[in-house]
Amino acid sequence: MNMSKKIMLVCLCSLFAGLVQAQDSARLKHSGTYQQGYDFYSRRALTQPLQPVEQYAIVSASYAWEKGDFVPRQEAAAQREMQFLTEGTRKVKAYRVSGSFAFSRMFKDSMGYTLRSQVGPAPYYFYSQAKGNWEISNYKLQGIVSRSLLKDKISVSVGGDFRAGNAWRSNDPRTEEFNHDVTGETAVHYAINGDHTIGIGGGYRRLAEENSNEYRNKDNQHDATNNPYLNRIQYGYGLSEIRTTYQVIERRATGTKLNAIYRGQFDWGNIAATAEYSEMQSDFYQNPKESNTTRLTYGSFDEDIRHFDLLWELPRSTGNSWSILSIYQDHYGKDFQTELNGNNYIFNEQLFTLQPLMAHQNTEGLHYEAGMKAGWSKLYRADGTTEHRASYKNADFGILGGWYISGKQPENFLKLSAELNWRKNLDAAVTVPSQQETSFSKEVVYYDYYFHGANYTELTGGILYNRQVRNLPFFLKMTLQYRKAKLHDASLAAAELPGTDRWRSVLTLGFTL
Amino acid sequence: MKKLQQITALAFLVIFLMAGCKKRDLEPNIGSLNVTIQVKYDKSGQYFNLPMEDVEVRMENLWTGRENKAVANNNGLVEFNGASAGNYNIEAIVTIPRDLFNNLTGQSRDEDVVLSGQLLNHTVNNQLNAPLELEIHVGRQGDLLIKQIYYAGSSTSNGASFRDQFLEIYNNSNDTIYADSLYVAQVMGVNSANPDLSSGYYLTSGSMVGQYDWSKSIGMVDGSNANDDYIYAKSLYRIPGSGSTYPVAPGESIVLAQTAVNQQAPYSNNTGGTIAIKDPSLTIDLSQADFEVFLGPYLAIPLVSDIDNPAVPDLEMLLYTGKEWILDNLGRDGYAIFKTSEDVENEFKKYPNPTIKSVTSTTALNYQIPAGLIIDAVEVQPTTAASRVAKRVLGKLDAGFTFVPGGSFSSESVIRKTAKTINGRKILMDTNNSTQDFDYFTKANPKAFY
Repeated sequence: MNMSKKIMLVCLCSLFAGLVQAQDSARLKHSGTYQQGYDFYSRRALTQPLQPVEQYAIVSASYAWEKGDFVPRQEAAAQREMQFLTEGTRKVKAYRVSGSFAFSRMFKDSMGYTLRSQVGPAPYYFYSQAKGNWEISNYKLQGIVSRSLLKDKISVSVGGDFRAGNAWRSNDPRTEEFNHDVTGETAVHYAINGDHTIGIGGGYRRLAEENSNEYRNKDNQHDATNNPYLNRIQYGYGLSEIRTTYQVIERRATGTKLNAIYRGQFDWGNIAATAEYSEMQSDFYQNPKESNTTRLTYGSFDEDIRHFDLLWELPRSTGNSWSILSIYQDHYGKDFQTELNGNNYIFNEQLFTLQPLMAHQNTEGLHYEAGMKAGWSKLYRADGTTEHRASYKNADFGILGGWYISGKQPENFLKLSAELNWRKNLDAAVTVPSQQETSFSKEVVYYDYYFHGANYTELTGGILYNRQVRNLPFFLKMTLQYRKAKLHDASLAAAELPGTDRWRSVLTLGFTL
Repeated sequence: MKKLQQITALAFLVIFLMAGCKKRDLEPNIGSLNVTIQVKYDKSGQYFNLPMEDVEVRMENLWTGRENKAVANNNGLVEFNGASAGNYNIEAIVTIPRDLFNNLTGQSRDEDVVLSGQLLNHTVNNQLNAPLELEIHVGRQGDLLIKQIYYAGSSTSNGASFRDQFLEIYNNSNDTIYADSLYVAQVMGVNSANPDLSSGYYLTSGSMVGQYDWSKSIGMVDGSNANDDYIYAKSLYRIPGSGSTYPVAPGESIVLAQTAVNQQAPYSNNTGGTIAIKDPSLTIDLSQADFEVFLGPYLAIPLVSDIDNPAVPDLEMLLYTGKEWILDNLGRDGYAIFKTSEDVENEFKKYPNPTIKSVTSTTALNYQIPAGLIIDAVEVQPTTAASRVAKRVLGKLDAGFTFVPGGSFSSESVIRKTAKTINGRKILMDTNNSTQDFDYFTKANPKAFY
């Protein structure tokens, strides 16, 4: 490396250091480029030691409201969520500490065709046709500590993530759900020199869930004739069985992950690339409730996730700063159905997203920002016994922008933002042999065909007002999102079609440090 | 820089290798199976000369509802190619013309003879590497039949719950039969859908897999035949009478009620309170029942709903379970009727179920009843396949089972089908396979016909 390049790098570093200082201002902390970078580095033990931000904190409370019938069949037509969130990062001498705590309380209205509170890739869940209302509470606590050693040549980090939740459905079948999810992870990094760092890490995860239901009106429990309240267990994506006694599913899962990172600083920007492979095995069963009975094992579900992301940043103290985040993730799962003694269900979801962002700063600070979004996704589900297959490919494209308007005092400002997204369905295919068609096919599989196969346009508007109160930068943020869909013009005989509208609004109050 | 590139490349290579090594199929590996079923006549040997080639075998996938049928070859073998893995009810049935049957067996039957057998809730998957054996039986042609069983009860909130249960017995012959000293048994059996087969208490093979292995009961005398030649009663009642007190004319029936009152109207319970009904249309009037069960004299604290209707004779109690003659409203039950000249109370043996490790004064004992005495038996099972339990009534007494589709508290009853009518007298179907013989009433109806 010649002298001129070294000088340029030192300049870029000093510019970046200056930006970090500038980012301490409330205005930068609300920018897309800042959040994109902060989120990238702060959430994993693998990336946290390389976090350029030395001090950041946010405390917020939000209320989100969502309504409209353009949702997957097993989601709620309307929902409300209140959330308290605090997170931050701080560097103290050789230590860097990051953490977050979140508590949310969610109310979902009229959610049917599933008796689990969150839709997920795993099979083995109860469902009934009857819609019901849910109350869901979730806690999330995360902490990561890293320390640099040997004059910053080596750094080690350890982190933990604890999530717990419970949920209740207040209509027959009345469901209770409890879960906790613990992850521990660690990483070690080696700085080749001041500009290039590599790291490798790993983690271990344990998850436990219990889902059970009972009936207040016992007349609903055993009536097997065309009863929307009847409890069924879904073994995959079509194969189901009526289950009117011992309605309990327990899930125990363990998982591991291995990941690696490279970060380099070049004259054309800073780059960070990570690769992660994680796998998890879940067992679904029902413990014996009487003596001389055995555990009833429904099956297991093995998942592996390959995750790659790449962040390129070109920070500048004035003029245009650039940031591009690209993510590719491949999530694959297959079950082993105990009674069938084989694999009945397969899930695969692939995502690719690319988000370039630009933030323009003038002498007064951040002035405006703009960006684009591009994405490609694929979703595939197969149920072997009932020969159900569903496959979707979609492309997403979006543009976004934000404008900062300063008040009389520079720390008081208004941010106006807008975002326009489009989804174009590239392929949607569902195959169900006529002799295997069930009520689940018509009510869920075909319905979701119209949802996942739809094209839509989404417009989001936001307004944020930041005001310094007793040296604390308080903010009030409101966003309103509207999604308008055009459904596939197909002939699948769904029992019902999704709507074409979905509204979402969020009101957030908080302050940053 | 070269070293940097090497280390970085190595780290990423490890991740890529780990990610890439795992095989990722997009097609589930549950494919179709070839299932072979070997149909056999029962062990008695007296039917070995009967032909096999007309035996029809039906496989019903309990998860998908798909049904396949095939006919056996001369050797009783049936092939189902391309069957999907799953839980199945497998049933074999054949009707042998009367003359052929009589010629081949030396017996003298008046009607065509039906032989049938069933494997209940049987798992078929790729572990199946030998033909499934399915035994078919000729049942005893009974003069008295269990005609209707109302075990489901009616709505717990608007109906009579389990209080309106009854059982109806029918004279299917052309002679008057006296019901005096007819015994009515509830068959003891496993009520769990997933018993621990490794515990040693349960049968691990055969058509009754998962049922109690009675040979393991404490004190069992006839251990080698304990599971094949007997049923075990958890409750046993006897119709009173001197021998000619209660005639049942041909085509007539008697109703045995849990509590013989009009369940559609409010009535006083045994503590002076009132048992009211919100929706009388859900339940029935049992005040005209022929017999009832009244356990008041035997219990320190009887159920308040167990009242004695003095106009209706009580059944004589030999063995009770619980606090009433409660038929399992989920359907995990079997019912049998028999007559004997023996002194049942003193001569029939009683055994604890095989999970009992020591017998005390409070241990529940079950009467051991020889299968040869049974006039008729019917097995009922839960409505939903996942809740069904091991078969408890011997296949030679009832090759199948029946259930009400509406399940518990649905007001539905199972009712024996009418086979034909001769001079106004209805002859009910009696193939000794309740899957074939029974249908259901959407509302139980004592003494009505299907």
